[in-house]
Amino acid sequence: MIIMKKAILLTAVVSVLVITQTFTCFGGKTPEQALMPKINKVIDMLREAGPIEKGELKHKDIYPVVESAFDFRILSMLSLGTNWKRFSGNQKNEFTDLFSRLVTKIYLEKVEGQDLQDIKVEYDKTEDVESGANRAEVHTFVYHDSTETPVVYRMILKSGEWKVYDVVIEGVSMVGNYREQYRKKMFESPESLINDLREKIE
Amino acid sequence: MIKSFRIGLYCIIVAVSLGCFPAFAQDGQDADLSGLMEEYETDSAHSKVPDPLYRYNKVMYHFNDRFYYWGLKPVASGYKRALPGDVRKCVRNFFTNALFPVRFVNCLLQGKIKSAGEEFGIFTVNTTVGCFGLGRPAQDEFAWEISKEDFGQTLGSYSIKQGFYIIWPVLGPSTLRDTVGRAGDYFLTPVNYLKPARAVYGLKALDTVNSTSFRLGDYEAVRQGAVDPYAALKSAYIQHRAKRVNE
Repeated sequence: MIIMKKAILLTAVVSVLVITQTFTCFGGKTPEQALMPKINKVIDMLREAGPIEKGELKHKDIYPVVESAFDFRILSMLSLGTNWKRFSGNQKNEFTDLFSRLVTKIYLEKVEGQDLQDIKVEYDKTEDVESGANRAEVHTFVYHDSTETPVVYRMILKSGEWKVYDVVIEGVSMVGNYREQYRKKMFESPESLINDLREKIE
Repeated sequence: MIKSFRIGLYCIIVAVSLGCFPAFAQDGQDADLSGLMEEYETDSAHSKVPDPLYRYNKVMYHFNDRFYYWGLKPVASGYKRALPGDVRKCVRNFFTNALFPVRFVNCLLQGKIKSAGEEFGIFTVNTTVGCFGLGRPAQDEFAWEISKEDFGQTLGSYSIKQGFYIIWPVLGPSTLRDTVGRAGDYFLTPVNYLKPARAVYGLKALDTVNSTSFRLGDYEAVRQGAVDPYAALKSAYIQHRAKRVNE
């Protein structure tokens, strides 16, 4: 009888687990639901802060928001291409950290001194990518200064969260672009590639 | 009792097969990333364009870089400050409208009959209602879309490869295919038939400065973020053109 009760209890526990997990699985955010609020948050922060002074980034608080939207480790790994294998564990971590800062810095510098009041990001569609991993492409349009720019965010589901691992602007993939640059640097030591990055950020 | 265990076991199987336990699910763990790596590798192999003129191109790259920072950028920045956005938009609309023959003919050459028809409609509406193309009611009111077709893309749609990479002074990055394309489009560009020649150069300069005034900061972003600016620009050009051909 006791064994029977234990069995029923076990089944009940498993069922609850399954139901909650299923709920998180299907009730979880879609790629665009994970991405769009973060984009809007960054835009709001930039608007509130006003024009960025030349050479000075006041928006340190933007980094955490950008970092929460991206998976910089995958982005770094794909960008380095075959070079990634040459890096030690520590070098990989260091590169990822510096590379994330560089990528964020470029995009913040691009908006330097610009009036962002008229900037608008419109969600277009999400396309699932057929592959072993759960991936999706979120298509958006950025409207600024009477110019429309198509921007596609390539996202991956990692530990239950959708993260960006590549941004494609007007057909130009950021990862693809860095990959071509690092392809030529396969004879340089990981340490010198890390130092290059450090110099660019400072 | 056995039945209860069976139900429990069944539930676990269902949960795992639904991919709801992150630890077991194929949710982007390292094992999956090798596939992603390979995908990028294949993409880059497909879009490889040789650079036999590397030494010449490198000189041209530096020339154009200086031309942008010392000439085009200051002029376009001053132009942007001097003219209101609406005026610059009108100038941009005018030049876009004037390139109708290039887009129309290339739509036809690529068998895009619907797009060609739409191009004809846009040109007619914008030239008349839009006051010689200064306005763009066709896009704003009827939501018609311009097809950014040119002869380089037409050749690409015929499966003609890029050839090799070449940087032209002032005009910037190109390939053998796109250079042939540009030469073809030259004859379809109405501005080129104007007399005297000075008027042609004047209008082309205005077009370049005006369109740059909308794109200030883009080149700088690529340049400053790059670990190898020459390779970055080449890759950006090749990828962008490949996307246009595929559209």
